[in-house]
Amino acid sequence: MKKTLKWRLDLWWILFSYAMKLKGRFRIAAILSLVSAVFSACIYFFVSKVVVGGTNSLIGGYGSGDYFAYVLAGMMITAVVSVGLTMTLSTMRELFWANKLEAMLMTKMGVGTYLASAMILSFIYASLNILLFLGIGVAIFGTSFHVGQGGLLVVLIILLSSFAVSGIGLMATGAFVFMGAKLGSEPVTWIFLTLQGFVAGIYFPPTLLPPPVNYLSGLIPQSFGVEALRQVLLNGRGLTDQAVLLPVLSLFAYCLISFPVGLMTFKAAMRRVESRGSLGRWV
Amino acid sequence: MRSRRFSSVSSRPSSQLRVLDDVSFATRDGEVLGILGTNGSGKTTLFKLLAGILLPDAGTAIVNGHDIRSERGLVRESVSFLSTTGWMLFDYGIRLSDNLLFWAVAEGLEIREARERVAHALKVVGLKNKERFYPQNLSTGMRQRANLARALLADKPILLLDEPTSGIDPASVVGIKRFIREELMSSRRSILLATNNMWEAESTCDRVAFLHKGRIALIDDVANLKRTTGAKCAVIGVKKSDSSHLEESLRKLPFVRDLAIEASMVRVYGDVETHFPELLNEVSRIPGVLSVALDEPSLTEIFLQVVGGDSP
Repeated sequence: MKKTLKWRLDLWWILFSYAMKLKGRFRIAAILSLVSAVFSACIYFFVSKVVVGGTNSLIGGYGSGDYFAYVLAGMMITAVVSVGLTMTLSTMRELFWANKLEAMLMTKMGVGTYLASAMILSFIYASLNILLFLGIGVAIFGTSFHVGQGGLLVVLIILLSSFAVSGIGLMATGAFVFMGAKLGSEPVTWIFLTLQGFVAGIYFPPTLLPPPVNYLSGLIPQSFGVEALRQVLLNGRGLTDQAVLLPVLSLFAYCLISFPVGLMTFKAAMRRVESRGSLGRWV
Repeated sequence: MRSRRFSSVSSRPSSQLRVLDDVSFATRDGEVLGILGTNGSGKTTLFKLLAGILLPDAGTAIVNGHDIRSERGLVRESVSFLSTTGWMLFDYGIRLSDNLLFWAVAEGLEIREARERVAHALKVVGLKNKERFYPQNLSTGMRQRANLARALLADKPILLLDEPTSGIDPASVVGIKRFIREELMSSRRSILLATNNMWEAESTCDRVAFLHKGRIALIDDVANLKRTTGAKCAVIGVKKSDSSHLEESLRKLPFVRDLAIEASMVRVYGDVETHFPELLNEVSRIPGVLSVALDEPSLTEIFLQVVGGDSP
C-alpha cells in the first residue's frame, strides 16, 4: 500500500487529535502540571530573595546578577530537554506495558512516526511551560529578559538542545528495550538527569564545583544550552558573539553525534528484542 | 485457489528452549485453519513469526510469497494479527469508535474511508450502538468483539487469530464463531485460528493442525481426521440410576481403556471397534442399558491420541 501525501496528513491529524483527546480526558493532570510550574517559579523567586538577597556576584556575568532570572533561564532549558531526554523512553514504556508495540510495528504507520508525534506534542507542551516561565518572570516578578532581539535565537537554542538530548533519549530507549524493562528503568536517563541537576549549571554556576567534577559539565548538552540561553536572554548577546556561538556550535556537534548513535542503538535494541520475542510485557 | 506457504521456521525466544522446529504448512484462500496445541506448544510464537514481529533463529517462513527475514515490511502488510490481549490496545480515555479510527488510519486508510470502515466493522461485530462507549464500559466479551473489529479495518489477506474466544461467555463465543465463518470467510482471507478449545476448532475450522513439541504433528480436514486417525468409541445409553453397575462391569473388560460417564450416557474408549461383539454381549446382561452404538472420535480424543497427554 502506497503512502500518499493525503494519508500522511490524515495520519498526523489523527495522531494529534487523538493525543489531544487523551490530554482532554486527563485535563486535571495537565492543569495541575502547569500550576506546579508556576509554583516552582515562585519558590525560586523567594529562594533567591532569602538565600542570596536577590543578586549575587558569582552570577554577575549574567545580566544584573539576578539569581531568579538566572534560575528561570535554567528551568526553561530543563523543561524542554527533559522532554527530549525522557519522552521516547516513556512512550516506549507505555507501548511495552500496554502491549501496543507489536501491533504498532505491524501497521503502515510504524513505531517511529508514533514516537515522533509523541515527542513533538510534548515539545509543544514544554514550550507552553517556557512561555509560562517567561510570563511569570516578566509580568509578576519584574524580571528583565532580552526576548525581543533574540527571539529566533532562543528558538534555535531550544531546538538544538532538544535534538542533542533526543539522541541520548534514543540511547536510553534502546537500553530500556534491550534490558526488556525487567527492572522498570534504565541507567542512561538516570545518569544524564542526575548530571543535569548537578553540573549543567541550571541552579548554580558549574565553576563552583571542584575540579574534576566541574569538567563533567562539558560532557552534557544541557550545559551548552543553558549557557547560550542565558547569554541571549540575560545579556542580550547575538549569534555572532563568541559567548553564544561557541555553545551553539557545541550543541550542533552534539546533535551530529548523539542523534545517529541514539538511532543506531535504538534500532539494534529493537532487532535484538524481535529475535528474543520480548516486544511486549505479556509475550 | 491460491496457496499461502508457511515453511521451515525454527525459533528459540529463550536460550533454554526451542519452541518451534521445522514447521511447514500451507493454507488456502477462504480457509480457516485451526492451530491446536497445549499451553506452551508454540502457537503464539508461530503467529508472531508469521506476522513478522519475531525473528526465527534458524530457517525462515514464506508468508503470502514474502520472506519474513528479507521482506518483513511486505509480510506485515499481508498479515493481521489479533492477540489474546488485543483489547489492551484500546485507550481507556478514548471512545471505542475513535480508538478504532486511530488503528484504521495507522493501517493506511485515509480518514474518510477509515470512518466508513469503522462503522462497518462495529456493525458486523454487533457493537454499532456502543461506538460512543469508552472501552472500560464494555464487557469482556464486547472488548474481544471490538478487538475482532480491528481485523476488519485493514484489508489484509491473512488473518491470525490467537485464542479469540478466551474468557468469553458461550453466547458471545457463538457470535464470534459466526463472525469468523460468515464475515471473515466471505472476504476470501486465509484465517489461522490458534485455540486449545477443541469444540471451537471442530465447529469453526476447515482443517486443523496439531502443534506438538514445536512441530506440526498432524494436519488434515476435521472429517478426514475423524475417519482415519482416531479410534472409534462406544456410546451406551442408560437409565439415569443404573450406570454404577455398568461402570463396574465395563472396567473389568481388558480392551476398555477409559470411561466418560454422563447423566444418561457412558462413552467407552479403547479398542472397542474390534471387540464390539464382546462389548455388546457384556452390556446386554446389564439392566438399565437402553442403547449401544459406535461413534466417531471427538477432536479432543484425536488430540489426546496425538499429543499423548504430554505437556510441551
